[in-house]
Amino acid sequence: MPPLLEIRDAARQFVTPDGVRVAALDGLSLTVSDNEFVTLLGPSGCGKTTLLRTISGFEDLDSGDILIDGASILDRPAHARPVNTVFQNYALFPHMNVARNVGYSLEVAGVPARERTRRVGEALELVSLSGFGERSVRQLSGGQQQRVALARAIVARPKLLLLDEPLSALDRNLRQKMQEELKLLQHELGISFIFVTHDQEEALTMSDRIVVLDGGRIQQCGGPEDVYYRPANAFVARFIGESNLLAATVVSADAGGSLVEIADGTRVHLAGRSLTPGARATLLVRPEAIDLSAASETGGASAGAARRDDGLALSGRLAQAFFGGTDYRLAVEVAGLDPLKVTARGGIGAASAGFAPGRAVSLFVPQAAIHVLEGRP
Amino acid sequence: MTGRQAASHGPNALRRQAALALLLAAPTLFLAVFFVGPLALMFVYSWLEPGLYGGVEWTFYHLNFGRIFGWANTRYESFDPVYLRIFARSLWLALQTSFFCLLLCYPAAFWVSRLGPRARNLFIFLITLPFFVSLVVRLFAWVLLLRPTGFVNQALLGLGLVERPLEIIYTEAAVVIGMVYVFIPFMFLPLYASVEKLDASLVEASQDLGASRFQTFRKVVLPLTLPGIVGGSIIVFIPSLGNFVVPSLLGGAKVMMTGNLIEQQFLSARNWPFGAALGMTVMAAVLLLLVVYVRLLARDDDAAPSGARS
Repeated sequence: MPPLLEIRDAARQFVTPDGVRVAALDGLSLTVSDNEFVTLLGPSGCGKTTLLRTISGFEDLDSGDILIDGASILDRPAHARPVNTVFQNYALFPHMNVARNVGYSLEVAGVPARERTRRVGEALELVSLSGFGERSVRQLSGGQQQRVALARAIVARPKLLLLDEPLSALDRNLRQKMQEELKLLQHELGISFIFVTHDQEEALTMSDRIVVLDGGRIQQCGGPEDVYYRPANAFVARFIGESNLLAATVVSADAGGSLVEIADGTRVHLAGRSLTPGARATLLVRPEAIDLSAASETGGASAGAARRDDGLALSGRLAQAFFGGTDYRLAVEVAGLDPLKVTARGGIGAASAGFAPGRAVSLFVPQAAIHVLEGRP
Repeated sequence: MTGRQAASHGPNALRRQAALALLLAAPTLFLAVFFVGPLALMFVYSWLEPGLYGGVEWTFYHLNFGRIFGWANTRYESFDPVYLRIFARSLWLALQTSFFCLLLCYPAAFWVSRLGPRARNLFIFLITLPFFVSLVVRLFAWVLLLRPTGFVNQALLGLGLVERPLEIIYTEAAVVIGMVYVFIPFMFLPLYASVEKLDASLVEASQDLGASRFQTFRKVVLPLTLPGIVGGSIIVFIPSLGNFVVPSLLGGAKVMMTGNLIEQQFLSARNWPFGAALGMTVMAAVLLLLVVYVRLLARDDDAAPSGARS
């Protein structure tokens, strides 16, 4: 059986007003299965919105193909494609009330009024807006408008729902609530969602699969844990989550693992990983994977003072500390390295005095929490 | 001057209100004296007896309206259906003018709204360019264009499309052409204002939800640009109904409109009360039409959502 959506070698170039050719999509291929929540994640200009608009029919491809259930949809105009979109600014019709907005796709398809009313009612119930049908869309809050846009897009049960940064206009608390609701709704409906966002936290929370885009190309495609813990390259590592990227050189390798050395001369043994001796590598260390403790009085700040062979041990000095509620975000200066980002657990016990800038600290990263990328960052 | 100072220096609302009242006093007074005053005078005149040698006799007299609507039947004053016919013709020509202006300006407004900012400003400047030249001069140019030996006929003859020059000038068609030409900016500007406000994402949303181009136009584009259509057609319809320059230059004696009739009564026939009665009748007709028009539109607007309810 063919996949629900298949994108083959999609390419699309734009010419900027200065005459520069920019590839919005650069030979991109992707498949989406039934009942899947796929997020297109990337910085602005990475091609994610262009990709969405080529699927919905508002942009053409220069080359490549888009198939739904095995049949190309490229020759079908936007209104004849079995997909619906939730627009970034919601694009609710201001001259229609909520019910008529939601029922619009049924109305233009000629669904009889009685059935239309029933299905509009169901859709509004799904987004917890029962009884709002008679309201003007202008009377609704941002979150309510968001729900109406969602109800409008799912009322005709499309095979595929496209969501173009739909939560970006909501405030943080509402956004988190809607993230959870969207995920639940997707499972309930069994419709595949393609969700575009530049917010990596949003992508991690909701997705079955995250497609990280940059420069019109897929940088990585995988589950949230995959792209977070095992990024394919430095771009993904930097774009998703906070990261420390340490340039390293492989010193030696044997059956048990590899020994690598980072810029300040500290060595760490990585068990179970066979790297080519002499090769350059990049070690990814997430800030929350670093254990931070007060430096021992006798050890001083000399490198390798707390020599432990099951991870990376460093000593440094606290440069900055920011309190973020759940965590403290710290910057630690280590001689010979760029400042390291460290996340330390907050809590009533963790008095801010403990993170006073200037304090000497010891850092330790268990070797299992180190991800190795090929090449230099 | 003092009003403006009060507005900028007075921090409390009361002083601002006082300043506003002071600022508005001048235009209010001006309109009261120079607009409402003459209008009231005309209303009074329309119910007075015409003087023998122009002017008015200050006695109540209803036969001015009788001559228009049919109850006048005396030795001096009698009903003549020609006035109602001229009204009907004026209405018909004004309707045509509004219609053709709309037909030309609506697509143009969409086109201009999609241009780049510089081209857009240039186009809007071009639309207002005719205002820089006297109306009479421009209409004489149309006389030269439309007359039997004029450019239009020469071109048609030269292309072999007609064998004899067309009779365009001094016909209703010439008047409509002239009025459409004169009133196009008045239609374009309000239309453009509402077309430009139309959010392109609404059009995309409609298509995305399965509406064809025609359905999208009927259900989204048209209702959302309706204010511009209504505004533009009212602004064109009213002055074209009372216009007398265009019909007198391009319509000649054959295509008389109410404007010419009223002008004639005041200036040639020197029958001021009858001219005033004609003017009052036009005004009443316009008001009536506007009320009906706006009522119809308002009902349409209400009906739209209730259609979905059923």
